[in-house]
Amino acid sequence: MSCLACGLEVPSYARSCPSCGKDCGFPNVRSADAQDEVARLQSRVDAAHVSAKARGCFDELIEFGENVKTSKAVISRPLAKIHELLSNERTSYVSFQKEVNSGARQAEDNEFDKVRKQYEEALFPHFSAEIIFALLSLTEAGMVGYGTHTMTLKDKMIGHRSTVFEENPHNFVEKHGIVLNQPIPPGYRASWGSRHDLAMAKLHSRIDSATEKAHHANIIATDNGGSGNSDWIEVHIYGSINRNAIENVSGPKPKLKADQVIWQSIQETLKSLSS
Amino acid sequence: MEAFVSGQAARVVFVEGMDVSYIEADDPKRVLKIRHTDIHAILGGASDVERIIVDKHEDVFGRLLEKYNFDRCFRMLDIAVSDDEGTATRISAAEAFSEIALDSRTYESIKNYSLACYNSDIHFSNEIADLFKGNQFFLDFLSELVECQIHILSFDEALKKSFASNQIDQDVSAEFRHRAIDTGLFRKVVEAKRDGNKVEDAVLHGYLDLQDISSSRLILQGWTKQFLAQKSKRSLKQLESDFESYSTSDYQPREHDERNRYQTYLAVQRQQDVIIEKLMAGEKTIARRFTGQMIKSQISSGDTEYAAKSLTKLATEARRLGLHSIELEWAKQATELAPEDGIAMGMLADTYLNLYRFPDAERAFTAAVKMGDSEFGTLGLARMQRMSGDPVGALAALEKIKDLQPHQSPHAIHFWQGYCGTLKDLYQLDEALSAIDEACKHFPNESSLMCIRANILFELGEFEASLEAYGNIVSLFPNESTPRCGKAWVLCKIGELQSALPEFEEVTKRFPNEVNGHIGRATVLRDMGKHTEALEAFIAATKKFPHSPATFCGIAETHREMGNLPNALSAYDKAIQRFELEIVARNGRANILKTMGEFQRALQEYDRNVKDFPYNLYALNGRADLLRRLGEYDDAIKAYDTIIDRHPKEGHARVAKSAILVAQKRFDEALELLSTDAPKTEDDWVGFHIRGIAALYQGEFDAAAKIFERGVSESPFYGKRHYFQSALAATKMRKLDFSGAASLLSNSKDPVSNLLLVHSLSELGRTSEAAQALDRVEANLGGALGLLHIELGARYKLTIGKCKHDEQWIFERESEAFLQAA
Repeated sequence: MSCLACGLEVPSYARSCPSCGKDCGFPNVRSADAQDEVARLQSRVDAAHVSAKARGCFDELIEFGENVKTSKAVISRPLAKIHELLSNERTSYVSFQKEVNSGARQAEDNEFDKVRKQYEEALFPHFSAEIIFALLSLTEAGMVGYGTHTMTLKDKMIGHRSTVFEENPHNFVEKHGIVLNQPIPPGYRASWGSRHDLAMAKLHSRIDSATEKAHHANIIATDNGGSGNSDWIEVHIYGSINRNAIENVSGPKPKLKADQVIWQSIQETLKSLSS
Repeated sequence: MEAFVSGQAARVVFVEGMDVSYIEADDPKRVLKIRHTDIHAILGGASDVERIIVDKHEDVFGRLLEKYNFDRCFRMLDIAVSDDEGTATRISAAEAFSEIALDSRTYESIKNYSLACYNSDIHFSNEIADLFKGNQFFLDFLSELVECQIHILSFDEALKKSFASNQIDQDVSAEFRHRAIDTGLFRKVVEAKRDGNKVEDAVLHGYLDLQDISSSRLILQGWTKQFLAQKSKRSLKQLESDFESYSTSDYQPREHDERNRYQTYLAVQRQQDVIIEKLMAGEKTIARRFTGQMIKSQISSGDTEYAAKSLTKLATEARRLGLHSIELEWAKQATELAPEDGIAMGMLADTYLNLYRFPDAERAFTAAVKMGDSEFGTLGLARMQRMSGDPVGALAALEKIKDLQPHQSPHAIHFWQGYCGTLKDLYQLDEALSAIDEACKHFPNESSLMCIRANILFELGEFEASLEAYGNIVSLFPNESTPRCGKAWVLCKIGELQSALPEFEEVTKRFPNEVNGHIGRATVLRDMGKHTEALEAFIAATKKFPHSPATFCGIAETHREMGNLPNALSAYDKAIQRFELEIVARNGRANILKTMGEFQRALQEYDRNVKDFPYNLYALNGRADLLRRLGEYDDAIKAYDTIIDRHPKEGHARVAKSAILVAQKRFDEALELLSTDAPKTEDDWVGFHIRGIAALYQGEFDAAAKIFERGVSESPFYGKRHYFQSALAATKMRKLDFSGAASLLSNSKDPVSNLLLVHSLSELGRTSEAAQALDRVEANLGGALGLLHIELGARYKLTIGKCKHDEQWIFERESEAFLQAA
């Protein structure tokens, strides 16, 4: 893109113009708003409408899309890690890569973390270290199978710098056969304000004439905990978050005493932050 | 299996081949499955993940508890001393701390860490004493911690200075600090200083405990010199020297005599044979256990390299038997035992590739390149590009290798297979033939290359030449199954079913463990209309080859051709239950739903398949076909165009699009898409049928009849012949020969033929027979068929209702029904 202030070229990964320093917006949001992304997503939405009309569930699909407009970004984390974030305003939740780069965390000796950077770079070339990952949810419960405790994020803290993506990028890269630094095909991401379009394009086959509003939460984030087939829409947030971005923490009351203490501490902190 | 243990996450993730699962600390017996791609989500950003190898889930419970207790103990301490927390929470935290720290291991660990990390929040006051007055254990611990803070701070600063003055890099610094804390060295020097004791003893232990860290002595010296008493420095030097002699006199290499080595080799061979037998018998647990024992024994004999080779060999066997999870598990284990072994790495890369785990395969092939096996790695990467739908990129990579005279390389045959196969994928068939001819010149006795040549000839439509080529390979290599199967499949595909059957029967006799022969035989029987025999053959094949999805799908397709749609659906359900991500089964199921008139469910299934397999032609064509069937022509054309854009020579999409164009009376555009050569393949015959319908639409009845008559008499495909027969009947009806039409349609089974029969019988005044025929057709067919059903029922008073259209409209809908079903 060209800088709106000086007209010179701004690299796709840069947040501000390297020539005049003008803030050019969040690179992930710019990517999602690019013309070919929007056009391709629209053609997927059109195909979804065609199928839904043919199956007699067009109204149900539209209702689903409307409901998705109210969805939130949630992050499931172990109770202990949520407590760490909430206990101090100076503590930030940053990307895995930033944690590793800062020395706060070591890349685990497993193949999964080794390929992680690979697909994160495919999605966000040269700025993947800036992105943190959440998922889209219509409830505050998150994915029961994947993390018993879930942080719900405040729209006003993340919406302007967030984009949504079709699914877990690792699954996406495998499913689409994206190899050797090939770019991600257009049509599978959207800005926060268009998350309902992505949801309809992706999930129309899950909607039928019997679909009711109560089913939407399970359609947008299908939790097959224990079966290995869970599926969701990812939220990619540029930059870090701290406790001020957390609206709520949900999950069952822990069974073990130490975890109950942590839970109690979390609840008290949330209460004091909201007052 | 691998176990990733985290106390922070209170979880353990287990990885055993393709199977990934996890347990939670509060309910460790409940094992939940996940996908391999979700491991990082399960461990949720934990920074204390430890990887260990275990035999069973229970083996890791103890370690999980240790790590959990350690993490929670630390957190309880933090909460208890934090002024930001509520009073009740702090008291509860201190209680939880005291309970957890009762375990001596946890206590030691927490002390090691808390007496090494300076914490400015730690303080002691009357208020604190009052707050925790009922918890003396905690108060004692806290008071000790407070006393030590000043010493912790000074040792911490000294350590940082030592790192800086010795120019120690960040990784080594982090490792040193971690080990100094974990081994208790840091705590010991702090305690010694607090108690006014000498720190020398602790430092000397440090030399031993941290000796494997580079520059550890320098760091230790720099770190502790200011805390050592002056007169002890000489004895320290003495002890350093003792340590030198200890560390160099320990290792004596083990020697093997050749005889023992040979005996070991024979024993390992026998063990491998038994393991393979167990795999073949489906006894996977025993095979895994035996393999674990064999590998342990090889490693303990110092034969790590051979242990890796054993695992690679067994992984190959597992692949042959379709046991991909075990294959992956063993291939991974082999690379861990011999990380520099290019063959083991290549096996792992291949395994990932066959499982479509492209990012993992890419990493492994790249590693193989770095290990020096650059040709193998580069070839692998090109294969990966080809499999991931980028044949153009693959070809470019292979062209580069070609310039390096690949016939002189040990991977030459694989190169030529990949190169010619990629050209074939790109429909550059003439180039593919030239390339394979060149390859065969370099390797005149290589049957796999000869088979590729025969296959390319088939793709070029040179059926006789292809058959002759396969025949030659069979005579040169009578003990190989691939050329025989290749020949039989050519015969099958060109409709020479009578010749194909004995060929496949010969394959099944000579190569009873070759699944392709059994599937081929059953398929030919089905194509010949011998449904009962085909069904028996497919059922027998599922028992013999339970890992082959094609055998299960074969049963379903045979039921479909027999008209037993509920049985077909149930057979597909079984196939999908067994092979969840088998696209052929999933599309087959959707096709059955379509045939049953369950269009909405069928479309939903196709859409799901497109979502899960975005580039799969079956899925994309299935969705487009259904839109066509429903008469949504513009949307269907868009869907076919998407396919044709990606695969310009894809036969089905072109033929199907031409059917829509005929229905829209865009005859010239339609005919441009159809081949003018004599029909051979199934798609050719469908295209030929559409050509006939185009003639019928345009009133060229004689031309249409000629085409349909040829189809009835010459089409080798049983499943397609009756469409020609029905279309011929429709042509006779257009010429008002209803008697001739009814006679052709007397054994009608499909809805199109039945509705034609209703029309003919009604025109002949045989109303009750017409009503019976109408009853055989579901009313909810949708598209042209649905409209016809209503109109014919009303027109001939077979149902209640008023007719709305004239005869011409009926004739056009009858033709359109063929086009929607084509």
